[in-house]
Amino acid sequence: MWKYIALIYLVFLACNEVGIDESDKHNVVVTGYMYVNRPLTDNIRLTSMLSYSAGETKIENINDAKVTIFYDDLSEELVPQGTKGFYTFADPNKKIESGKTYKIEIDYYDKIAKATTIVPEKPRIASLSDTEIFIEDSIDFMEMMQNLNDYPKIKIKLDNNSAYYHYLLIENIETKKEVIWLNLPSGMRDYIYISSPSQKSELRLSSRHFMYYGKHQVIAFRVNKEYVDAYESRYQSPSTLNEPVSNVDKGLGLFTSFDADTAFFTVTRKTTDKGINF
Amino acid sequence: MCKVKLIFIFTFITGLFFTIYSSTYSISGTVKDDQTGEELPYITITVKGKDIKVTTNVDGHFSILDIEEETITLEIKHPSYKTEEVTVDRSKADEKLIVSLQSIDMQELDKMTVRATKGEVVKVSENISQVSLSPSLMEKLPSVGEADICRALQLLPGISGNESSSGLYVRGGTPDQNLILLDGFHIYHVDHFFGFYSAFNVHAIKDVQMYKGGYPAKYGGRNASVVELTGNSGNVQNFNFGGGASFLSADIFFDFPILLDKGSVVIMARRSYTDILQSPLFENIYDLLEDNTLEEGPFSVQMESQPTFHFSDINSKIALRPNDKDIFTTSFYFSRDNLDNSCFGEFEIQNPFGGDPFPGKMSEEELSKWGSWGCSGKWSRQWNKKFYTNLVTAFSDYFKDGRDSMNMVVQMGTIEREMGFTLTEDNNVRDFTVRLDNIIHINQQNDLEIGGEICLLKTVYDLSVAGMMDTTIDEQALLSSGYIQDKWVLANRVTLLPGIRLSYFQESHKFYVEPRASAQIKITDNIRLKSAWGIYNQFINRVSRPDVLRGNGDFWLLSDTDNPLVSNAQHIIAGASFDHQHFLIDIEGYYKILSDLSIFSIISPDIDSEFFLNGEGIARGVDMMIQKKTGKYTGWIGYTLGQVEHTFPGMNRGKSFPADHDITHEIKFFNNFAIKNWDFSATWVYGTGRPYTMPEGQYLNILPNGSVDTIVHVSAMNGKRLPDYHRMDLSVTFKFDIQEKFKTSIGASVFNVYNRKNIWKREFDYVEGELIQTDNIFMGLTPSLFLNFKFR
Repeated sequence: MWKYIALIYLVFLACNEVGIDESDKHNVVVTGYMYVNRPLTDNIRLTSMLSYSAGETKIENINDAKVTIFYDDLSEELVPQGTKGFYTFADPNKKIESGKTYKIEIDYYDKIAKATTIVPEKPRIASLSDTEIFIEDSIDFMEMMQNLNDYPKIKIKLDNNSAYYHYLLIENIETKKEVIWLNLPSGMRDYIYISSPSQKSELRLSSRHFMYYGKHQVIAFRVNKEYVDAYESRYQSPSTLNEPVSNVDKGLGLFTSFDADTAFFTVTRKTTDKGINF
Repeated sequence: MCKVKLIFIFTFITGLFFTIYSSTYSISGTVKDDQTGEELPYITITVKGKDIKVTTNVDGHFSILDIEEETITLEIKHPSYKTEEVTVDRSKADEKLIVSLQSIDMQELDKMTVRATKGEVVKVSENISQVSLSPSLMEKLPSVGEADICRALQLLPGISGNESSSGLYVRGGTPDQNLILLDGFHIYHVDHFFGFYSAFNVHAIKDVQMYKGGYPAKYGGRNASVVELTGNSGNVQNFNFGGGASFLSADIFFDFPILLDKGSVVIMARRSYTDILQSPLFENIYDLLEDNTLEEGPFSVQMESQPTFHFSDINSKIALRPNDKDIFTTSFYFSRDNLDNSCFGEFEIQNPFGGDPFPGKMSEEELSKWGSWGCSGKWSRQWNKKFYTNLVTAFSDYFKDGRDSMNMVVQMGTIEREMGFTLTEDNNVRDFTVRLDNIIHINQQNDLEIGGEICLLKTVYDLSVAGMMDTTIDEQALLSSGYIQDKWVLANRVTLLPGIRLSYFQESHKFYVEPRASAQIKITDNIRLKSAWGIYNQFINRVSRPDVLRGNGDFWLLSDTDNPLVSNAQHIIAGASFDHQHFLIDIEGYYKILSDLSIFSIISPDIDSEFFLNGEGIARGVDMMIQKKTGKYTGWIGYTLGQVEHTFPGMNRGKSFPADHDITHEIKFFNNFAIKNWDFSATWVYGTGRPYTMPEGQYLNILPNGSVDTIVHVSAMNGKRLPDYHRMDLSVTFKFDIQEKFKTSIGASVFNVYNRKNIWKREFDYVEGELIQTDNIFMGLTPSLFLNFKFR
């Protein structure tokens, strides 16, 4: 009898494999966001993980890793820039190209972290519902927030039959900025709206996304699933201690790429019965 | 002509003779308690010399069909009663048989032969994964102040718990995955005193049936197990009065006959006096849970509190038996915990401009109450020997109301700044159920059960924080289910129980088909092989959120198409048992595939973000129990080798990880020695340490929008284990009669005899470059006393 119990026990133990990682030391944290037709400057950054067991007290920038980018059967070692952990191509004008596959390898303390991204194809903004909207001045910010439906909106249509993920960035591009809302909280004055990634073909902007009169650019970024996964898991729950999803093997962080299309619209001060307020 | 007449008459008489004497007959009856007249559920009745066994239903009713022998002897066994033998012949076929069982009087134990069954607290059923518990014998078990049904169940292999939870973790399931029925209504909250005691008064419960898995199609709505409790229905013969007291609470009961012995009423109430008299036991438990030091920001506050806490519960049942065929019962249950944990403290805050620190006062009014209540009405009717019906209407309500108002006053020079906020959190579950169960005894080989239920479920969760955030989740749905199952005995050796349950859940607009089957093969009189398979769905979930001092932070939500999902489990169980008159060896292996699990986790600060992670899991293991059933010394050793793994794409990089309640090895050792009026008991429990997640470091997560979050990095989800848990408890009980009609028992228990420092939870804090690890320790050595009496 006991023989059989022992046998069951051994069979059970043989199945008893749980995915437990070994202790992470010298973990590299990759912040790699590559944009098509832009140089790499300030877009690939390496920082360290503060290790409790090593008694570390500070997160450090990593400036001495060997960083190599692979693309088109080529490989190129990136060079560190300054002391903040940034790396770039030796030719600072070299740009990221749409549709290509880029791999990164980071050799740090004999531990090689790897990640891959395929640069998405360029998105296309098909149309904006309005290229000019009118908003009265002398409106309290909180009043607008409470009655948001009473204020202008803009619909942005994308060519997106394949349900790619996009996010929007809305930015006032006037050199001299003129605030729309009364009592705008000081924290909102440098506001740039960046939306969550979405697979929709029509995205909407409401008046709460505009803080200033004048010309705005709307940039639609097409993003990969790796970015969506990382974005959606960016908040760490104290109960589950989930970490943001990473596509970096033997490392942390994210290595991804974006392509974008840009359109413009203007927010104009609306003439009231009282006349134009200056 | 006369000759022809004679031949005709002879043929007729002979035919009549053969018709009478070669035909079979059937008997039916009820098994009752000799002293109280109460019907006894789930009693096994064996026809001696034949391989026929039947079990009484919840109303104590049984039928045996197609008997060929002129005379048969029935052997009736139950752990709490003396085994009875009754001889029945054909003449009883038209009568309803009443079998009265004498309860086991501890004082008579020594007079009984060693062969007799001497009151087993636990009886492993012949059915797969089914165990019955005798609450009347539960005071034999060592306890922390109160005899406790859930704690007793936790002593069985395959059922885990811990000191801080009366919840049952059955074969890798979580407490909310257990279907708990008391007289037909659902119980959503099973404990008192922050989980230390079960909410069921052991004196109010007559019978407990536990199905650890593979349960039949009759039961539905939960994924892991079924606990079916039958309340005491009272004495139809005499007036009884009794009560008891321990360091924590006192209870009292009355039961008496009504309507010329055609009915009975039982009323029981229990209340803790922890708000009046705070015994060392109360303070031990409360100290374990309480932490009144706030250490956040540039100041720390030592809060002073004098918590006021009490719990109470009431059980009541009325049973009416207007005739031999009908039984009407109504049952009521109420359970509530109240906590006033208001506290006050003074502090100093650093002056940012230098100079003397600013003095401040902080007060917190924290009021909580939680519990549940329910009631049911049942009509049972024996239409004939072959057809029995139960119709139940039931209502159940779970409530948790919490209010926390904090006020802080800081004196900044001549300026007094006052700030405060109020948090309220309420959760309610209500259900109204109509259930019909029919048993059709087709023949000696087939018992067909067919029935269904309609359950209207409603959950409300309301959270309000400082008037800024007000979240209400109010959901209601109808769950309609029907089932059919047939217990089929083949050649008296093989018993099959195939069945199917079909449910429609309004919230998800889907039908759920749940086929189930179990089989037993009798190899010899003592050896049985058994197996079961089934599909199970769960439509309501308790969202787990640790918050010990408000009872718990968990809240119930209905499943829907979005989140939390309707979860699903597939059970595969196989085992064998060797059941000897004096001892039992039972072993079962199980494999459970769990899907559409939901874990509450705010993983994105977006307003429209998901609050749940969805994943799947596997629970597998082997349960083994060796039990000595007879003699002065009785007891068992239970061993479980188990593993529960979860896989959630958003956690642990998508790799599987041990669930929070994963325990690899568990050993439970129960010993009882009964001599004359004394009962000595000892338990020893051992369990592999529970898993926990060890933080290894932290890093910055920088997004293109410029947001920077500090993320704590963990090596692996639940990748570490707490030290192993073990503990020994002892108890002694002495029973004596002050008068013939005045019976008493007095006892003492010592919990954690060798004062083992078992770790409840491990917490971490990162302070000035150092990771501080804090272990919260479970209760150390804790003695307690109890007294029970009964006047008849």
